[in-house]
Amino acid sequence: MNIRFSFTRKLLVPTIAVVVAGVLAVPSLAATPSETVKLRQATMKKLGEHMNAIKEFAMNGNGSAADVVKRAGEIGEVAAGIPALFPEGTGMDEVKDPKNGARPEIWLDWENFEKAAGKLETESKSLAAAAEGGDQETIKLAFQSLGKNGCGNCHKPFRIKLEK
Amino acid sequence: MLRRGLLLAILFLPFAGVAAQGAADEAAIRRGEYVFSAAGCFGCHTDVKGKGAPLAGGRRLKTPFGDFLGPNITPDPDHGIGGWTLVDFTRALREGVSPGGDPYYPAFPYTSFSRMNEADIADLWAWLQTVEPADTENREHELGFPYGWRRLIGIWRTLYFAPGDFDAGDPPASLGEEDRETWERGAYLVRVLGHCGECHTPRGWLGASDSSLFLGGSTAGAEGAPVPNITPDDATGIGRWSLADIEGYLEIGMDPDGDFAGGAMGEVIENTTGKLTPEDRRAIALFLKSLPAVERKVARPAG
Repeated sequence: MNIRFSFTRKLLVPTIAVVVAGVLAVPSLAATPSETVKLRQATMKKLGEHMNAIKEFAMNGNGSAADVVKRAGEIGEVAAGIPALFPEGTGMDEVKDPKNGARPEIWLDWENFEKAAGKLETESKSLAAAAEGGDQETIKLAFQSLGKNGCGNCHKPFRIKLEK
Repeated sequence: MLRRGLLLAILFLPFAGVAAQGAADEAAIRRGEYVFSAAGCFGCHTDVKGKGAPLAGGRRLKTPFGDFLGPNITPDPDHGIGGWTLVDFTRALREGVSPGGDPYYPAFPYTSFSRMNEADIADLWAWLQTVEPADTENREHELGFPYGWRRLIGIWRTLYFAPGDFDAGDPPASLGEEDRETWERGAYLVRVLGHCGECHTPRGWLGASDSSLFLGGSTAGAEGAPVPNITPDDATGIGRWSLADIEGYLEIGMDPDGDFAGGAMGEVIENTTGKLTPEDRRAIALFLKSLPAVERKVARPAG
């Protein structure tokens, strides 16, 4: 119950609420394991959209720094809720889904998994700060660091990519 | 006066020679470090999870044939390659045999490295001498039947291993003359140093890569994960990726969906492609985009 409580509480930020509503008909009710898997896939997809938009500005100069600040802020808010998206019983061997690549290591090494999510949060804050500062090179480095250390370093030990 | 000059020259010439030699070595070592990154040696020869010393071996590579344990390639004389010569080293890479004459399992990608050029091998050798020796003992591979039977390697070699020099072949006709050199460099990086096909090309039951499906992806890659099709097929490969998409992915690991690589490719980006020059990443992208498209969907078998 604890997990489910924090699940709804932490994820009720505006963007994610939209995602939740799209995936679950009644977001306040407890999700089944397969619904949880769908929810976190939708969440990760949203993060990917943010990262793509940020990349356009960080690497190619398209868009605005203000938009990066906003998106980095949302990534940080989602990051705080990531551990809640991985309740026990939702690993790749438990919920068969062509895209569920959540490795059992998540629950065998929960402490480091939480740390990895925490890293995403701090990295996204650094990026928001860099974007507020406005220096293009600093923003680029912060974006790359967020991708490698925030996203990649968690995917490396804890995810298998099952489909392109 | 003249005599004095001559005397000075005699006195100092040898030192000048040593200094030039030292600088040449330094340059070779620096180039060798780059070859080391491009060839991705670190990944299989370092047990990062077990906090092993760099290149001291012990990393477990899970494959459908069993678990291979990368050996120690530090210059330790007893457990590493400290007792080797450049000739031994060249033979290991180009022919896949140990200094004692035993053939290696092709988990060591000598099918690709066989075509490494001599300059790269000499530079890599120079750099390896600078690695801190580690006295970590090598461990036996843990292979399933019948792959543990070493004599099978001989059969395998006869059937599937063709050593030889690198030949990039002809670039596609559509390629402009100005891109030819870049394309050839890309072919060398992908086929030889990067040994991309070792994971991205499917294998038969005896472990031979199916060259007609070059880089067409594998359902049973190392570490139990499927390995994607990276030929330019629109539906099942990376046909929709632009050159810039590929270059960016190789640099920081982000694909066009905004997803970041993890698993084995995450390691490759960290240890190899992220360390290459932008020119080399461009060469890889150009070469990959020029390949024949293989229509082949790769996903983990259900169940």
